Amino acid sequence: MLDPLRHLAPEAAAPRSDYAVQGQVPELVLQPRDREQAAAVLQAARTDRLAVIPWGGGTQQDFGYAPERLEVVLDVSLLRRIVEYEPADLTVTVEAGCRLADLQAVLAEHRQTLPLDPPRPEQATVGGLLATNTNGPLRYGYGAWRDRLLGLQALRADGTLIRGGSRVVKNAAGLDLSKLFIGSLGTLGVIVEATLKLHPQPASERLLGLPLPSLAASEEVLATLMETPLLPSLLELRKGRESTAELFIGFQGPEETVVWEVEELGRTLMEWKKRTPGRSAASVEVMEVAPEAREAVRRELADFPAATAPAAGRVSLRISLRSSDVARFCQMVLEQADGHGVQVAWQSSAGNGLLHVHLDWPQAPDPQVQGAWIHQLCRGAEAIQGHLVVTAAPPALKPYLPVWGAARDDFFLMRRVKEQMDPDRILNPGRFVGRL
Amino acid sequence: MVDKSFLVRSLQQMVGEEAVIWREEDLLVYECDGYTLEKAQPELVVLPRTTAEVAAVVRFLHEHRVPFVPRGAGTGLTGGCLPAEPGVMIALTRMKEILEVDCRNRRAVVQAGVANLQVSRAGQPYGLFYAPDPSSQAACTIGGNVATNSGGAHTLKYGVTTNHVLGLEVVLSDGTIVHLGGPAEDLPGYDLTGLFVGSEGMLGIATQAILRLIRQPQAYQTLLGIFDSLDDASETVSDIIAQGIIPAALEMMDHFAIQAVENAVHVGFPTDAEAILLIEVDGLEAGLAQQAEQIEAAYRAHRAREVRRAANEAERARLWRGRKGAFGAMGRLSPSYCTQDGVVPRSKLPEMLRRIAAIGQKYGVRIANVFHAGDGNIHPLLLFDERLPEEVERVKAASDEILRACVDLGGTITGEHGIGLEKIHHMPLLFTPADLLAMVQLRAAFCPDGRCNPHKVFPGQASGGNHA
Repeated sequence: MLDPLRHLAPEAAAPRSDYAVQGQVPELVLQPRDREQAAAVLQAARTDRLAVIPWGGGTQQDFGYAPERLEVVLDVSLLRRIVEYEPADLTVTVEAGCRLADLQAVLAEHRQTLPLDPPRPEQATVGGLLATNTNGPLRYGYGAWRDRLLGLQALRADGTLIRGGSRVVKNAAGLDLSKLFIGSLGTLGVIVEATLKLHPQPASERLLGLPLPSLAASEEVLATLMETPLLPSLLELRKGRESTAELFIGFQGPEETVVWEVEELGRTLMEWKKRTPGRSAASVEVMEVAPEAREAVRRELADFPAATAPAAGRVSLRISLRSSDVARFCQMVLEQADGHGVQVAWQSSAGNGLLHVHLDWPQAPDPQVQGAWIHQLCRGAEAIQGHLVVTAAPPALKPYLPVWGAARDDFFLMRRVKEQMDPDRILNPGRFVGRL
Repeated sequence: MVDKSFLVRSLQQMVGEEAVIWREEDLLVYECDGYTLEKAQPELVVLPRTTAEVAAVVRFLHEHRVPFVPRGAGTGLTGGCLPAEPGVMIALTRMKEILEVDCRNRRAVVQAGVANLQVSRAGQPYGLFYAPDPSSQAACTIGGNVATNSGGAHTLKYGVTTNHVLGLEVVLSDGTIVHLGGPAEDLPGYDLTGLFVGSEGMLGIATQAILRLIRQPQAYQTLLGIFDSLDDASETVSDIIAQGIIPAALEMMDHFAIQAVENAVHVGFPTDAEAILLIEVDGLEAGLAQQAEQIEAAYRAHRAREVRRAANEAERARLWRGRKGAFGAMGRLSPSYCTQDGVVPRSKLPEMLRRIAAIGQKYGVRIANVFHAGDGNIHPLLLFDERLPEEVERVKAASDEILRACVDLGGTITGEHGIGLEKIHHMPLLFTPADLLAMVQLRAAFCPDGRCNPHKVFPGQASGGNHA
């Protein structure tokens, strides 16, 4: 069944085991050189109803349920050209297999950037990052992929090329298909090209760290910051080295602006301390991250959601909440984890309400007990109009976990969308929400 | 089509007698939107007050297979809320409650009939505002903004409607109420909110929206440059962007528009100038004056004959008055005008303006240009007398060529007004049959029989809501 496909595109040089998805090894890995070859593979796969899994940098194949079937992996990393780049337009059109770091290097030559900082940019591809909707700390200041994507081209399950959006920064023609592909895990089509809105590289940058005595204090400080005119580029909250929590605040922009913001932050903090009784508040001091250390700290913050486990068995969660609910929810997770004897590493894009949690069990736990607790956390998030998804977990544990959280009331529409776009269930079947 | 008196009585029972408009003379005002070249009266208009009423009405219409058209304030410019076949119009204008303003989380929850400007007004006491600001914002509704993915003058910096909508409550064409998105970000699944925004009323009726609010800028710096050549003005824009400045607004007007405005509004524009370029930067006060210096230097480097800079809020308003008076000023020059809407990559603006001038000459149509230079969104204003059919034909032909030129230069056929009825036949300029098929299929996922705002946007739809 697979032999006809072998002639349509080159087979990947790397061993098939390198392309395992949650323990399953594909029967065939093809690496098309261009979109015509990719289209041919999809057409042929459809004839025999073979499941095709799109593959970019392979950095997030742990996401979602285990594949229902895994016949063909379609590695699009050879589709990596920069198709069109006009710096004066602040837009770039790039093929989906381009690694984000490679794209950023080209943009930097013109003092421009795509202001997104997801984990592992040297490995992750533009297409993969779009398909998984992987963002980073800079989303607070600059928005997420949906705010940068102007248009894309994708191959449908039958190999047809379709376009959504446009190549210009403003477009109101037709339905905006492009948004639908973001976070769709390749289940609607294989992205082959994307047009993105760029930003000038900031002239200056500062990064400040604020150790905080408690999560409750963290929320107070965040709420206080929300009332100031400050415009941070990032707001990341995590466990402190020596304090309960630590808030990182980044500023980017013209030098004069950034300098003022740092001073205003200092003034804001002093005001807060005056209003807040107790020695722990009084001891809070802003520390500026030295310029030479800044890149490393920012990298560490950006990489946290993808941090590799010290030992097997790690469960990673991404919890979406209102910003004001993060501190309280995090406190609850820590208290409950303590009761269960679970180690927790956590970090939050606090301004956006996103909480990333890595859970490690020191001894082999009972999967039922593990699962029950995470289901409970999931319900807790949903009770406050939030959501929880499992971003990584051992394959054997997944059946016990709320991998995508509970379906919301619009799920039936998602099912209909999938049925229209890929009626034969060729693309990444069974991985996505509701096993679509 | 179902018996009209049965429809009226049934709907009156659901929404009350005063909320059903069925008399001929009362229906006149609903016969068109801002696109006055086409008119069609709905059979009747219903004005529900709650989501439950909307759902009850829609469910009833579903049972009797009656097509329907949602409508906001009717300020749309492409005939988007015109009934293209006999049916019921559902006007959302009575649903104008602001349900929640959450400052800490910078969210507002509003009913779909709330006027755009009201959202910013609600955020104002907290130093927050709602960024997408189409020029009709005092009247246009959030529901309408959602339908057309409205933009405004500040989209280069602040984005468009879809960047500020986190979730929607929607009534589908069978009366089901669904919730897309929510107050939290990165909800898993397909971004149905992103698909719904800009879907021009074809996927369902938005009854409530969760909107993003952002901090009001601390300060503004507004400058105006007067040029003897459009190219010089365009190069100024490119220069500023190359220097790493993203202005909040970049508005340009050409010779004809300048003359019209000066005669109407008297803001002190020299009537022999070829171009006016208004640039506004906003944000934190620290560093803004420096940006203004850079902008002023750029104006002069590109041969601006005069540069004006606002020293206070009153002067700022004065600089803007010229730009804001442009559309109204057209009324003095001609009984009718058509506001076209297209986009080209910014670097292609000078070429596009040359083509528009040539097209105007070719068809003997006077065209004034007012446009958002930052995002390449052009608004050629084509002047004519709608009482003269021959002039109308020439304007349509000129309009058509302008849109083709936009696509030819790598742009699109609409930046913010949408397709509606006006540009159905231009869709194939931009989209292949495969592209259109995918859109039609997605529409079918939401509205299988096409009764929700039928015969809009997509070419080739047969009567009765069937799709190609």
